[in-house]
Amino acid sequence: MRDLQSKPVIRLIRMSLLLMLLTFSMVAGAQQLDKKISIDIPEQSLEATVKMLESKAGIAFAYESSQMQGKHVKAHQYNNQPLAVILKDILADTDLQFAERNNIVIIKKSASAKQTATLSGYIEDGKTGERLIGVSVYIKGLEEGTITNNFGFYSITQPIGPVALKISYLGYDNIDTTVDLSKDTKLIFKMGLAEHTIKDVVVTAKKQPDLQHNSQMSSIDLSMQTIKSLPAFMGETDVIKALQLLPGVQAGSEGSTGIFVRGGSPDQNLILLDGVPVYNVNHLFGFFSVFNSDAIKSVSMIKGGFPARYGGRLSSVVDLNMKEGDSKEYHAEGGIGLIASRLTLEGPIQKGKSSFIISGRRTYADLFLPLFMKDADHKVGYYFYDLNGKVNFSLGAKDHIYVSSYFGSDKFYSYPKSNMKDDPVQDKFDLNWGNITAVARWNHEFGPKLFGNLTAYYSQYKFKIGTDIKVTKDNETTQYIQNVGSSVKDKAIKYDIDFLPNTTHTVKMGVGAIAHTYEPTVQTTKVNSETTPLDSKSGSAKINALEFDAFIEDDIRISSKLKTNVGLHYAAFSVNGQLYHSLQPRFSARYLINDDMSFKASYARMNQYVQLLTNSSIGLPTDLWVPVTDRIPPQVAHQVAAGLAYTHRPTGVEFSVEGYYKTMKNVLEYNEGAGFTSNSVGWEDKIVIGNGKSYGAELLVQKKAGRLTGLLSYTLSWTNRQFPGLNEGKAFPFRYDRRHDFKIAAVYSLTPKIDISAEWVYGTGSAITLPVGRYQGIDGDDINIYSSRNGYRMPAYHRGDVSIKFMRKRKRFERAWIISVYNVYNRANPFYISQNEKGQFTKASLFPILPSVTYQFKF
Amino acid sequence: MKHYIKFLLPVAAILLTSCFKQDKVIDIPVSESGTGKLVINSLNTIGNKITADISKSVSIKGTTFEKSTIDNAQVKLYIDGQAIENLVYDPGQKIYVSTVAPQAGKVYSVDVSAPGFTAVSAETKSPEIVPIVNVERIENARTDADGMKWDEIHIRFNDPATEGNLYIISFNKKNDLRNFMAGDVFTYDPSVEQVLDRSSDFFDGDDDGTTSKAKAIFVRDDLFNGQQKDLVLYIKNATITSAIQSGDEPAITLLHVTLDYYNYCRSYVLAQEVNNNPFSEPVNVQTNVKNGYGIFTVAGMDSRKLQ
Repeated sequence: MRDLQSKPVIRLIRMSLLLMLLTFSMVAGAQQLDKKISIDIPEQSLEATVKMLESKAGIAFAYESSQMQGKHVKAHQYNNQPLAVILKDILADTDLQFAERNNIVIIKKSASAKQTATLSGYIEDGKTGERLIGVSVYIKGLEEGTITNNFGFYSITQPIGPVALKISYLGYDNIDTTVDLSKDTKLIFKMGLAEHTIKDVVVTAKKQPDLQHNSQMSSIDLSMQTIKSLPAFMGETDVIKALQLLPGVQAGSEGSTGIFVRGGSPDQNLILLDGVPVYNVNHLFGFFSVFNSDAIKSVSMIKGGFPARYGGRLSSVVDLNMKEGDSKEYHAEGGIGLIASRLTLEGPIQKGKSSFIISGRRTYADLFLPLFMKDADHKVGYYFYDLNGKVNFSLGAKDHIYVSSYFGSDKFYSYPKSNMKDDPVQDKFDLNWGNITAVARWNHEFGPKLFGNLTAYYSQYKFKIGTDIKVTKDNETTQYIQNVGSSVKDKAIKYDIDFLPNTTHTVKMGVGAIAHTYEPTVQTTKVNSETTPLDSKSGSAKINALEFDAFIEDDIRISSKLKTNVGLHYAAFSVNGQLYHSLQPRFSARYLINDDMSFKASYARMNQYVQLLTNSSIGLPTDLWVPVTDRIPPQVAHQVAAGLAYTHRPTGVEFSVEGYYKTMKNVLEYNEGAGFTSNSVGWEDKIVIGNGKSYGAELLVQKKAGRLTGLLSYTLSWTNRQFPGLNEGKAFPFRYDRRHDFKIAAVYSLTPKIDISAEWVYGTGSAITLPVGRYQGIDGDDINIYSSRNGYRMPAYHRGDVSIKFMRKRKRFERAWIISVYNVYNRANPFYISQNEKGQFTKASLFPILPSVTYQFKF
Repeated sequence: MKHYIKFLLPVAAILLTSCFKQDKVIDIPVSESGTGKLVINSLNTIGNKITADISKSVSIKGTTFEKSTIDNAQVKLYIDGQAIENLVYDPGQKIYVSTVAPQAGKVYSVDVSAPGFTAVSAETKSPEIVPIVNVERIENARTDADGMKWDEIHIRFNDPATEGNLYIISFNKKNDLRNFMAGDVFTYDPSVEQVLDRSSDFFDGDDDGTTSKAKAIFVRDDLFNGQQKDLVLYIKNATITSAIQSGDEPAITLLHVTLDYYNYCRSYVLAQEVNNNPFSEPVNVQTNVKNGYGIFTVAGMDSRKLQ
């Protein structure tokens, strides 16, 4: 078949045939358009070019010669490119479009702008009804598509006609379908869980489009299956510790959940739970994070090239979303571990329309401790708990409401035992800290291309140390009650809009306002006594601040090879009569070198108006959140990054190499010797303000499918700080400046019922300051001489963990035994360095080999 | 479930009791750059003869600290740039002694050399004595959360008209400068840059942003320049009372000091506080000795006994 005009009979027959085949094409894929060919096209007529393609590809084309008259194409060489890409290029400046019908490529007049239609709707888990975030909705052969937003919504605008779609999401079976788009259409796709792949998944960023197709760089998404597959510290799966395996993300001290991203400090990470900032993510001094893995649906992290919708922190965004709950059936899920147990209940409120989930976790160290302290005068205990809850309601086809909340708390206490009740001194001690978040979100579809979301939230972190002492003397009892604490509270409202006019643009915009209230330190003292009563309150003044932000960003597909995301974030912060504001440009771009490899680059300016004062590497609850003030300016970071992303198709292994350079201005540090305990001066007088710089290269290799899956990451980096009053004003290495940071994790599916996993991490030792001599001071005390701040290194850190999981699945019940061993070769990693009385340096290590066992169930 | 608990309990017990291994000696090759330098310890007051303790810095890796007094040093004293004399070594006190008593407003400097050491030097300008106008004690003025009684001490003095005057106020034995660092003192005064005593950690419950125990009270005149200052301190009643009863002659001492000495003392106290605390950044003690360590300074001192 060549010129249909010259052979009218054959043309008629074939066109009829095409119409018949069109019916079947609803279920057929666009396989011919995927076919890759290499062709050298000279400058010539369009028709001649089409004929060349037809010949080269060996595929039949159908077209009207008259529609091609007068059209020419420029010379171009294509190497191993999909036919769809080539056709898209050569028809780009014409009024023609192409489509495939049962192995025949049809070229015809393009529909006018008025003849486009929008396909929109939601992607849901077919079993539970939960809406899925980040699902790829891809138009086959066109290198175009979109991904679902945080509420599972998608929108694609295309010329009227059949649209071949591929819908894919990690752990689910792909949906390949063709939709006959004749008008604006709303469709809800329900994805089926790919049972055979779930346990194979280790770590993934793979949500189509592939790594190399995404314009976002320096980001990764971790599935909860991934996180739950990794060896767990003391049996507790931890989201934040899983993030520590990624390149550019460094753990702080041993066992800690602190993360140091590209040379930033922990307070420079914006950690969001259902869009709400969580201020303190630590339980038990940082050994566990506050996120119960059973309640979390998805985790994503961005280290650079930040989209404009994010702001307020310099170094990273960790976006966690809670599960919504099964809207069809009731389920229970839980686990019993060495130190904690957890239970999750979920189910429909109104079947198919609304659902709930409630998830709790609690430790029971407080039950064990009395066994070791039988002779003590006091009952001493410690526990933490988390409680997550979420409900969602559908208010019709266009509106949906989500309400979620988190409560978490740590409590350490010491009370006199009952046999001490006659003691003249009765002293009680409490140490409490914890977060509360609550958020309500209302989604509304203004149309198939416009999606809005209203969010109102509350976030609180507070800690309190309380003492209550009763002294009885000469039959008179005096009670001294003292509480010391600090808190930060946020109340916020914001509105976000997603506008998807076509597959070339994905526009996001929004505005928001946050009212912050900080109480850096407050002390109340009460004395109940007949002779000297006292009731006083003192401490740092309460600080109220108002933050406003607005953003707009557009993910633009400039050509089949070039895609960019440009945006602008504006933030204003008003505190103590001082107004700070900033315009923060964001830019990232992806250039597709070929279908398997792309080059990416990004720039982001970030401003930060709150900071954490801490002088320890462990997650102490006493660390203070404080705002910028008229004396403390905002932190500012500029970061540029560039890299290559590549997928090796035969194996599915993904490679990512990135380099970055980041400067940080107005970073804070406690002055020499200052800390939370020194309250003789206000917090602003205890800190110094300086600058930081970080640069390096990161490599990430991931294998996501097959019996053996895993990741390998390596970071080579340099990070330093410079403060006018420290280290003679000279730059010095950041405490977590880590030249080499290597991690490898793997999961192997031994049998369908047994998985084994292992990970090994290695990092250059932390930078520390050590004395280089000493002399006697004016009153005879020894004085150490220090040469340069952080001028020495602890021994290198390395550790291996292993885990084995035995699974059994019955019709309505699943269970698993997980045996993990942390620090399997009992490496004594240094926690800190000190000097003994002989002048020798000694290291203290925290965790030796630690086995643990966890039982999990689900029904 | 019962057999799970039987299994879990002993494992948990092992874990909880095995979580800390420490004090394993490791070899970190540190520089010896701080070793073998001359150290000057010379705190002088107006009207009293200048003395200087000359020693050397030693390796951090020594098993015990041996103060190595240098007895063959040459300590040359200058006043306003004019060479005056060499200080004479007193083997009994192991210090170098001058015949000169410093006066307010003069510039004093020393050059110190010794065989095998790099020569060092230091310079200071003597501030004047700021007399204490009055010290008033109000007994048992406050009771703290622990039931302790505190005396309120008012210290009045006239700050000179010049800006940048610095003071160190201490509660100590009368005229005992080597024991200038007192304990169990706190104040609400905003002029005070106070340094904590190590024993006053968070769990003592004394920290509320305005009060704390302290070793020495560091005061700047930024808020009362050229005016009479009435500084209020709180000292434990029991401390004062027992000192008086034991004949220690407790006193309030007001040192009018140079910036070099102020910084030396502040950093010195901070360094002692954080010493051996692995979670604090160490503090380098400041010095005004070129090519060496220590302090050479003159201060104006006045002292009043507490009654």
